[in-house]
Amino acid sequence: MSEQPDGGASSTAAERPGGFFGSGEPLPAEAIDSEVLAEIDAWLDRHAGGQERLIPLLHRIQEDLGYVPFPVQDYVAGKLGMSAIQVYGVVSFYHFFTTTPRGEHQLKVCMGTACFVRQGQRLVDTIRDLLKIEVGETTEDRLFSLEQVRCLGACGLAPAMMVNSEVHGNLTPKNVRKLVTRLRTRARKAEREARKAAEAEEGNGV
Amino acid sequence: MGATSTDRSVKITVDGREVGAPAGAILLDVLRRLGVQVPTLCHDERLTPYGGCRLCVVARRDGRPGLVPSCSTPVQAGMIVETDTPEVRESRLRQLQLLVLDHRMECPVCERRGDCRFQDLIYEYGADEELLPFDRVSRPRDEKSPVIVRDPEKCILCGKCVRLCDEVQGVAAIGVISRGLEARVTTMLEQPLDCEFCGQCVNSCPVAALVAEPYVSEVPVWLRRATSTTCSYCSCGCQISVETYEGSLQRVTSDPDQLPNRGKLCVKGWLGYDVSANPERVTQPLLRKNGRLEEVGWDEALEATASALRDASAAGGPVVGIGSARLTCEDAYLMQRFMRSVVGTPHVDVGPVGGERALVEGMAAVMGRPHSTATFDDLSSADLVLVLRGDPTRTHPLVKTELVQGIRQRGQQLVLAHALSGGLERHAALYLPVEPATEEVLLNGVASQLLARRPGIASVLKDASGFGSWSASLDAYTPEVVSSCTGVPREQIEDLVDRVTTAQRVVIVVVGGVGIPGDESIVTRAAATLMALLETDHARGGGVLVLGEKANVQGVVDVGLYPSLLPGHRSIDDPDARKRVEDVWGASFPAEAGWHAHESFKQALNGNVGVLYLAGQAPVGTWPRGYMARDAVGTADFVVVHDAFLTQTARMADVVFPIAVLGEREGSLVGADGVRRIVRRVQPPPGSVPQDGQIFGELARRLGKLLPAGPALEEEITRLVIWPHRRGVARLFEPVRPPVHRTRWSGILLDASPQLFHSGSITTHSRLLQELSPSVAVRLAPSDAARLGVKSGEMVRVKAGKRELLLRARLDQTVRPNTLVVLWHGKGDSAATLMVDDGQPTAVEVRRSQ
Repeated sequence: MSEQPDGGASSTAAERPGGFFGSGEPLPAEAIDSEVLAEIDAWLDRHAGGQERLIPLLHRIQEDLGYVPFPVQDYVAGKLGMSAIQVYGVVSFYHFFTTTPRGEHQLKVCMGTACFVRQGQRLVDTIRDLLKIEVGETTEDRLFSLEQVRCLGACGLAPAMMVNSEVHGNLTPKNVRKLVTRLRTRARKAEREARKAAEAEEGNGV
Repeated sequence: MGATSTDRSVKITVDGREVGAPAGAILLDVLRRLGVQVPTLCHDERLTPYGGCRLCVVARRDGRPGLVPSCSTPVQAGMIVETDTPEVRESRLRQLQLLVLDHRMECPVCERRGDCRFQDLIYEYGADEELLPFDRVSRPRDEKSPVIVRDPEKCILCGKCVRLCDEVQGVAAIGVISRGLEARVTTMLEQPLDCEFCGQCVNSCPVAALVAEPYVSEVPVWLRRATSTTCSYCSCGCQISVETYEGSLQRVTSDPDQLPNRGKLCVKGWLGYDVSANPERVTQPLLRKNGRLEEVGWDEALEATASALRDASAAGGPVVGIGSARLTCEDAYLMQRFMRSVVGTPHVDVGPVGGERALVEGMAAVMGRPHSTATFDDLSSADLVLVLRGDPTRTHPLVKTELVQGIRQRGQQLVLAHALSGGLERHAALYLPVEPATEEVLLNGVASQLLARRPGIASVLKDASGFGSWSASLDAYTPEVVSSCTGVPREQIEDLVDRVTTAQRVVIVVVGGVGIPGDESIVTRAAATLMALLETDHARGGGVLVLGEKANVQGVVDVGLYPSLLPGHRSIDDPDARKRVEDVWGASFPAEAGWHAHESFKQALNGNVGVLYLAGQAPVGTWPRGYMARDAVGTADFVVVHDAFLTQTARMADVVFPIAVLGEREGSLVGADGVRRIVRRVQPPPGSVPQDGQIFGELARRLGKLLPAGPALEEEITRLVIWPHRRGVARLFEPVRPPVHRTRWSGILLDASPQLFHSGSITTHSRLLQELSPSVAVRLAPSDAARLGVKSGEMVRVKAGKRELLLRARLDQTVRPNTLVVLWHGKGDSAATLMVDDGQPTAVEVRRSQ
């Protein structure tokens, strides 16, 4: 015997995911490497505590991945007994965290007072023209990202710029172009060599 | 609340007046208690201090210059404050002006005109002039979510909605993102809200940044009539305020100053009151003529019923009256009075409603009285709460919020032991997902270990009646047996024993609800007995709280709508009690206990029931198969039904009386905490349909007797029933049954216990609740769905024994794997009919429908 409750099949109410915590559908996600999640677990094991671990953990993720992807925020939220929006509240509050991938080389041009008057804007314009990206963007090959920051504390070296954790001072458009070109050449060379090595290994191995 | 106050009092000076205040109290609370007006926009007494809006600033004059936010400043000895100086007013004005800058001012056409705290303050402080030239940040209204519309251009970022959602509701569906002018309240990735729709965010919004779409109205608040009443859904007894205009529902809100819910709401209390306006309601009596139900006048229907009752009595065909736990105390009282003293039948029952047996056969067996021994206040002040049988999130949302607040704000420990998850697990200190129907084994195991650890208990109780044989019966509950029966590892049981042994104030909550597997009365007896041990040993001020499912389970038991009980908890077997009731009634009644609903149905099947009288019960298609409801209703000679809708049961009746529902009624309800609360009529019922009690009164008159009404009724009830309840004393111990081993599942466990959005017959007639959560859906865990190859929205066949239902599947991560959540009630045949008996766990097969 099979019965059809009234209105069952004809129900046209828009399907919403069930559950109370936005849980029905997974967040629109690029696939997250299970190794990343394993590292988060390992970090949490090493650092006992509660929700106060959120910011240090986000720091670690930002440094490792170059950004804090949304599915990772969701995962961290679950681990710390928070909801995803609470984690995103923290991520979006701090300038340091981003939700879009940054480049391998993060170029942070100082626009603090000293650098500003020493024409730091010219450095920004130079990089923008060279890499074809706007401030806040990342090159397609994910090699560079460009940001403006307020005062690196290197006013004596104005105009200054940081490349990852390294400060470069007394910059001119010319030597910025040189610096960026050098980084790019080096990265491409490394990539070529890596590809060659991989091909060689494939040839030998199989 | 929130503040760490001690008994110590300190002296402070407020506006030149020296006053005493508890050390550590929050300055704002002290000021308000003194009657000082302090404006706030972000403060809420239910939440931890926030200090966001800076309107509550006062000036300190004791060497610490400057303004301090009184909402987050603890009082200190010698503190001198001034609350209304020019600098204080100037500061508040500036704050308001800054808020005005980024607030879309459309007050004349705003939904909250006349009902806006911000508008009031702008007027009071004259803050309408803009401080700086500024282009308001433009942000679109968010209308993606069901029911709740968010308007970020009106949001003043007080954060009350966000904090209530987190600290009280324990959901945190919304949050504040970004910073500065970019800051706004939103959901993760701007997805539509997918929450409990409790409405607390909307109800707490001081402006119109959050609005309930169904309650948007052209009628300004000052033209509406607001009636304070008691919610008629579950047994929490929440006080709500229902606003109407010329009889039509405008909005439901709740006042933070009213107990027990302090302004808290849930989805049913907030949105479920649209049932009244359902166009499918029955508004005229129906009488079966030539095999068909036809609309007739009240006289004709009443006369037909009266003559059927007369004939049945004359022919010796017993009359059976089954009411419901939705009846008010007055209506339930009149029903049992009518059946017993007018019709002369002993067969009155409330029906299987969830909680009534826990009270009568559980609490009364141990404590002598069929009521809870703990209140909601006890729940708040307990340091350990043990919840059994179900998740209050699904059945009693107010209790859920009390527990979340207890954990978040007062460091309470929560232990959950049940088989059917509901979302509270993530807040619990300990979650024991026991095998279905094994809660009693767990409790007996804990009792056994407690006796072993604390020999003092046995020495105090050794002379108590039955103690010896009871404790001997516990010997079978060794840790190994308990662990293997319940499926809970031994360490976790040890952990629970540790907790109950050290906690000072323990409350044990027994969740009642149809569809929860297991015998609620046995679990309750075990809980009350364990509580008695704890109270003998070390626990003070706790108790057992039985949560009846529907609004008035406690009340109907109190007034005697139960086969073995007379009004006032008197046993019908007690001659003195019968005499007392006969004296008050001035009428005699049958002296024996009547049939329970189950027995009545069996008798009906055997042709032994003359009139089956159902007030607010719709058993056909909604009670477990074991009741044979369809056949029983079909076989009874004459069937009378009180219902607001033409249910399957009503369709089979000989007479259908339409009745008033929810806010159309007057009377009282007794909550799970034993407090009697008033229900006021907030709107007239369609077609002026009466309440259940009025129908009994009319029938009695036709049968030549009179039932009391109005003040006489109240006087009669209060002569027999005493509220508030007086606490009983644990009186006897009875041996427990041997540990019951459950067979492990080969199949999927059917979970037909109440769901948050629906608990029964009424909610399925609410358009809004149906939109939020269709009652014809089954919910299953994503892992099970993947295994079965079922996608959200597809139809599945659910089979138990030979019975099969076709239902729409929905995925839900809060559903425990290997469990299928379905609704007990529903339109058409409901999933409860898959069960034989709701006390037994039911395994079902599920497959995708081709």
